Amino acid sequence: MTFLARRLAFMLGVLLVTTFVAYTAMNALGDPLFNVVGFYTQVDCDAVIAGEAEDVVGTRPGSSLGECELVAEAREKYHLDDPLPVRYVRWIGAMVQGDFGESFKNYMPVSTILAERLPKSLLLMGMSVTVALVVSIPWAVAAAYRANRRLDRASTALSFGLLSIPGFALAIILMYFFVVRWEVFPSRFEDDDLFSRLRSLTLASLTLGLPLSAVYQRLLRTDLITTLQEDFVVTAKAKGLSDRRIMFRHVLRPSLFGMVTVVGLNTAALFAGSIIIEQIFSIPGIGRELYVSIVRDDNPVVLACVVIIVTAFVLINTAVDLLYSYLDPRVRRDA
Amino acid sequence: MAGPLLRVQDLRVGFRTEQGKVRAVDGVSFDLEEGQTIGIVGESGSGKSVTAKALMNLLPSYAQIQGAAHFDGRDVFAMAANREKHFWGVEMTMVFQDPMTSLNPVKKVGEQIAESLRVHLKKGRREALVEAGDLLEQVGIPEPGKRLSQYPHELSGGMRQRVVIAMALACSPRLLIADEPTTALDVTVQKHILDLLDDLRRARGMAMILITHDLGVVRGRADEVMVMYAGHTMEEAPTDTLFAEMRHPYTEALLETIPRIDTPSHTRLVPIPGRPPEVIDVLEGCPFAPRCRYSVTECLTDRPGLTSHGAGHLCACHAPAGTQVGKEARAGNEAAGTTAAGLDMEQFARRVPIADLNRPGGEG
Repeated sequence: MTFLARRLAFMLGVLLVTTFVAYTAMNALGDPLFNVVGFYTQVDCDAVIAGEAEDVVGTRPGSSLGECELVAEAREKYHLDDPLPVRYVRWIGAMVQGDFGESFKNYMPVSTILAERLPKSLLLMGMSVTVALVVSIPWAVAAAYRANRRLDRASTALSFGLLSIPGFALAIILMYFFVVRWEVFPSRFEDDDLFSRLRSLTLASLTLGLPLSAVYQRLLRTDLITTLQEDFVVTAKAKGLSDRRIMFRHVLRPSLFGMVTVVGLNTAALFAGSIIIEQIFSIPGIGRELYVSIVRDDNPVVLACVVIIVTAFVLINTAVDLLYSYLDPRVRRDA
Repeated sequence: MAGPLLRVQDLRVGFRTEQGKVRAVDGVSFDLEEGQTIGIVGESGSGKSVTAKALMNLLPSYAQIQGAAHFDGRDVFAMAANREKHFWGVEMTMVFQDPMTSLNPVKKVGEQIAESLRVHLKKGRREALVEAGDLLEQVGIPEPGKRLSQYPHELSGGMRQRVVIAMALACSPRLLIADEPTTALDVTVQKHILDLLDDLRRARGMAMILITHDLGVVRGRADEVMVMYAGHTMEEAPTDTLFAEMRHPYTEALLETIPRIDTPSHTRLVPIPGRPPEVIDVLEGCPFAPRCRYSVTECLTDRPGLTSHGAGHLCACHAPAGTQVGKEARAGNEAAGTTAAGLDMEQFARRVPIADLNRPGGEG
């Protein structure tokens, strides 16, 4: 229980630091007011409102008063006159209550945007990890069992091949065959029911999952080969157990450490890093939203995406740490 | 079926390496009767563990095994080739040297013992666990019920070795091979484990192969002793005969390396000079000749065969200790100051205090 409490405190700490850095960067490196109202930040609006100055930027004479009122409105709405730390605390306070603010661009609540985007990204992440694990574990076991024989050599070549294909190239190859030529999968995201969602995400999850499976296979194969040298494997053989049983019941579990660590890191990164893939397969997920929001300087949405991604990172790595203690009882004591 | 429980005939095990073929075991034969214990004694690299592993079908596939081994009339190597499922771990089992590494660190002790029962005897999970508890009790582990759900790292070395023994006993084997079962343990625990093995063997009428580098271990525990060196059998005799009429210079030298309680204190130990040979080339003479204080010119050119020295007593030596020939050979070497193989006899005069043998690097 103390372990969980400590993890939770750690997670909160990481969230505070990362959100503060992101918030400061978004507010200090660019002007949020500019992001809301555009070039009107250049106008001395106080003077315009007071009728003492003319609009110098606007093309339509007389229109500046309305625009300048907008600027004043935005200043007040986003508390832009407050010092940065105060704004940060206010923002995070609202976020804790589920209020991520609203988009600068289409004035939709950010939480509504996230609610729509997040499930798709989560589903894609889950499918990609599933593909990677379902492919890599049997593959690694087969390769380690026949280490350095012909099958293992061929599989090494295949894994390096998969690793060296860039993601977008694999995506295009898969799309060409499965979407264009054989029309097995839809070309755009279909959101009718779970089945259509799974179907729409299949190619994207293969694109993300297959190269990962090559990485995991390499890692697990090496660890399996190392574990196979252990004395307790000889003991298991002396007990007259079959090779299959020794592999799956004795060798696999203590060999999973290295792979699990990397799976944890990669899975969180999948979330943030599927930007290109979501773009290629037109999947309306978090990655795509983040990309679009960065391009459009939509601060609240960008920040919300950062929070989501960081949370995913920390949560997944906590899960990995918990998994360690399941995999090896020797970790449990000092956990 | 009449005849011995285990009959090993002219067993040879070779490994191909880049330097040439290593003959780890080179023509070993012995019989083991039901319920009897044979001790196989020798230094590291003498081929004793390889012999055991060959019998247990634990050698890597690139090992070249020749010769025959029959267990109760059944051809052991044919069973290995046919992937016999319920022989190893059931009728013939093995206890290993290092209990710290021979248990799976991520499985509960109970599961590991119960596994053989479930796989070979098709027992249910609960039944197998109950039986595992009984086995733990038999090997002298207190609170067996509690231990079942513990992991190996929660037990001491001695306890772990008891668990390994319980695992080996699970399916009531007829032959137990114990490969240096106490080498990795504290001296205080060693005797307990050896006595336990002995008691269990007697109680179960089980045969045992006890492998050790320590002649003192087999004394009083084995019915018969086989001394191995460089893959060859040097001497084989009923235990009492061996200690009373030791014939092979190597056996004699081995015994002098062991501290004994019945000799006056401060008696110094005699190390055997040199190291065992790399058994890559076919040896022309006796493999021990270069380290032997009895060696005569014949030893360098002719490999001695096993000859009889009384009932059941075999020895492979041209100048056996305790015989007239041997005495003359040794006296001759002492007079010359060097052996036929060119070994300085001074080396044997340099007796080492026990404390020096325990220093790092002092052990051979």
